[in-house]
Amino acid sequence: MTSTPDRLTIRARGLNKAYGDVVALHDFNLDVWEGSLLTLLGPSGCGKTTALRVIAGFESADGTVDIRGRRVLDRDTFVPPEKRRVGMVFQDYALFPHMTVARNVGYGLERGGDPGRVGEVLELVGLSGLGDRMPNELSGGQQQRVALARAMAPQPDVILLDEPFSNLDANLRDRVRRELKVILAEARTTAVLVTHDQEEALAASDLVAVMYEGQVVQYDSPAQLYTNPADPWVAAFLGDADSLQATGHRGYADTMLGRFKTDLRGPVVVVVRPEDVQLSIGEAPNAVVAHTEFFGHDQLVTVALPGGTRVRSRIGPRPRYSPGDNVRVRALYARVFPARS
Amino acid sequence: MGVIAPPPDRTRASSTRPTRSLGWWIAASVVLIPALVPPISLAIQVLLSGTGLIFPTSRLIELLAATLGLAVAVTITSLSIGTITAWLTTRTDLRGRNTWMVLAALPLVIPSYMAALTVIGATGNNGLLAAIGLTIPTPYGFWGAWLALSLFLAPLAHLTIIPGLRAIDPAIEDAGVGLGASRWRVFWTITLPQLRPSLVSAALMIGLYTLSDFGAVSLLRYDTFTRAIYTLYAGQIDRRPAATLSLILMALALTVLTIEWSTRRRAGYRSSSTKRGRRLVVLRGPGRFVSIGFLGSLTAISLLLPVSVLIYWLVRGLRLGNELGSLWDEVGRTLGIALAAAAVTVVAAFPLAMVTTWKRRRMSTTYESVAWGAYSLPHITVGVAVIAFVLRSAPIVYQTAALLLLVYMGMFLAQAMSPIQDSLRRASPDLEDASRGLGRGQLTTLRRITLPITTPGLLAAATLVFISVMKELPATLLLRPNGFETLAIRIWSATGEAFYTRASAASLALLAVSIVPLLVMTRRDLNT
Repeated sequence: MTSTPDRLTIRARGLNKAYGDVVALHDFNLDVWEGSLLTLLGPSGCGKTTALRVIAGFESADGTVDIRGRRVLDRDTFVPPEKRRVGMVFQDYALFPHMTVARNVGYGLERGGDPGRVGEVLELVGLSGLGDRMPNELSGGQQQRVALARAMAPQPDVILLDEPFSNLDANLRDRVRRELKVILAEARTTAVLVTHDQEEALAASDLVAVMYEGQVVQYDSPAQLYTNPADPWVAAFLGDADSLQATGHRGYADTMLGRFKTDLRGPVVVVVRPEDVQLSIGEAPNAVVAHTEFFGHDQLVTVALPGGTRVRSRIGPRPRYSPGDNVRVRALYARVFPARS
Repeated sequence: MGVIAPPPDRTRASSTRPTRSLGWWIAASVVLIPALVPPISLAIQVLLSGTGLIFPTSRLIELLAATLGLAVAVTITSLSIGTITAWLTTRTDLRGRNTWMVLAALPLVIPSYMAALTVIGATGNNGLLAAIGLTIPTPYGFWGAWLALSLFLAPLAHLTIIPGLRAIDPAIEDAGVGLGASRWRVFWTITLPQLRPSLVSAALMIGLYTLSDFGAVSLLRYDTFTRAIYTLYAGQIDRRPAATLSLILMALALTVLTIEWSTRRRAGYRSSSTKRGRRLVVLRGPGRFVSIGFLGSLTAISLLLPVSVLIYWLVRGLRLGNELGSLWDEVGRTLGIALAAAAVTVVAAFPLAMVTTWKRRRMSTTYESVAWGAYSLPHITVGVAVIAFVLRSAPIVYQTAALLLLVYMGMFLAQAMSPIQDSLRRASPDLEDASRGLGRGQLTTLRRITLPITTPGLLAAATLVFISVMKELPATLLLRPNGFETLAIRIWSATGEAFYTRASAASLALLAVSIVPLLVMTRRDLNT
């Protein structure tokens, strides 16, 4: 995070917010650079929507928020949402049901909207010619694009999207996600997207901030997040992972899956992903197959190590294993973390 | 007369920071003042000046017994009729059941004093029934009041039970049949227990209306609390006894309302609503004959008879050359005050509906309960309380139209609040946030987003209040400016003085001006 502050579109520092006993934000920090597409990823209830609403100004919180270097929230400042130049795409789209598509899109423009700009944005989202329709006459995917067009029309500094794909069916979701990425890139718009879907986060964005219990626990590129998770929780949240207890000693941690390099000493947790776990039959078996799931292009074999720890292995369709088979199991790659006390 | 709703548990998400909504909270608090003043001022007055009761406790117990006795009798009768009509029109293959459904609901539009006029005008030596050779003595007292109120409150049970019947998952009943139970057993062991929340709710509402009724009991001369209050109020210089009785009756009404709310909260039956169609009970032979006979005679007595009686007396009076007098002034006053009250009440109810649909506010439940509490107070007691209050603190507004408007507003605030809340809840709270996020301030958002999307609710609210005010009798009777005769007053006083021709003409006029909004509202009630 070495960028100069003037290229920062959003800078949130030390945000705290609680609803009664429920903590929504706990020392939440976030930087969003101009022109980037950032995803806030976390399980439901982790505070990601609250973070978005605080940035947009729909809710207040302790802490500070700057948008393009302008202070919009601190102890003495609360810039109302209409003065923040932030576009929001709501989970349920929140299209005004009593206005046509064109009037929806023009709503944020001066004096009801310059028709040129409305047409331009509608064309950008691929909805030219649908300006006279009412929102309820559109499909879910079209409504979503109208919501995006409406948020983009006034050329805000940043667009916030709250679970934008959750109301779309699975087939449509992939397509809309690709389109959204293209549209945002074409318009060179900075965007923050909130989701609880890891695949969506990995595929859609330049940077992902993983949130847990009101806090950003890791902020990285999708590839880094997957291969270098900051802790066992992130590893398990993003994809499949199994963990083993071990002890760090003289630069290594020895496990039944092999020896892994680490500088840690004492109790450690070794995290392996199923695709890094290999199985073989014959020489010196050290585990028993517990059960298998066959997916066609691959299979997921769960083995039980002596002592009961279970580890999953994702391998090609051949050979087929059956419960009770004695196998040799080892991991090619693992991440070692200090054990939580 | 609408259906009393409980403080609901559905809320909208809160939007923007709470301090921004302070204005709405202040507005909501201000409009609740007229709702709060009557019971509080009355309680203070009774505490300060004493009960002034001049009659023995035994008389009080007698009144209480008469009032509660009537309430219980009317409740049982109306509930039985309403359950049968609701079941026949939703669960059987009866031909024209949708028409019967509306017909069974329609008598609700007849105010109780008009029901009393029907009973009086149909019976006796000069009644309509005598004209067709069936002379029955006019049933003054308990039986008359029971008959008039039961028939005209049955639609309330009908309207409350229909949604209850519709909410029962058909699969549960099918499961009962599949397990080998007969239709009859399924009705008693599965349908009825699931209907219990609706039945209890309907029973308490009917009881509440009976307690509050003034029109029918006063015209049919049955001594209940409301009639005693009016007699005491009109006949004596010392107003303390009327105030004391009013306070007791208010407490009684609020108790019933509280019981009603607590049963609703406990009524936790909820079934997954399937879109699957429901098998209808096939009525054949005697079953169908009896059903149609029942619905037909009910419609004859509760709809056809009132209209026939009114027309009979009007025609008879005109033939005999009775002085009718012009009704235009009454019609004008009634429409004017009802329109003004509708406008004032809807404007007042809007902030209340706004704050009571916001999230996480214990206060909003309180506000809602206050509005509904005021709505449930018997109007005669509100009248007595308001008079006592203004004579003490602001005699200058006594008997002014402005005071009357304010009192109507307090009484019918909840009635206006409910449909506005419904339309606010139907609209996503994100709509307002979306408008703010697009650079529009609070006022623009209110004008361009919130108001347009709640228009249906505002219109429904205005219609409900309009109808209620047109029909309102007891509070108008006590608080109206001198010489301010509305149609309701005209009907009541003419009936009391046995000018049935005049009363009938005014009744027909009242029905004529309220029939269109009434039909619209009845259809709406049945469809939601």
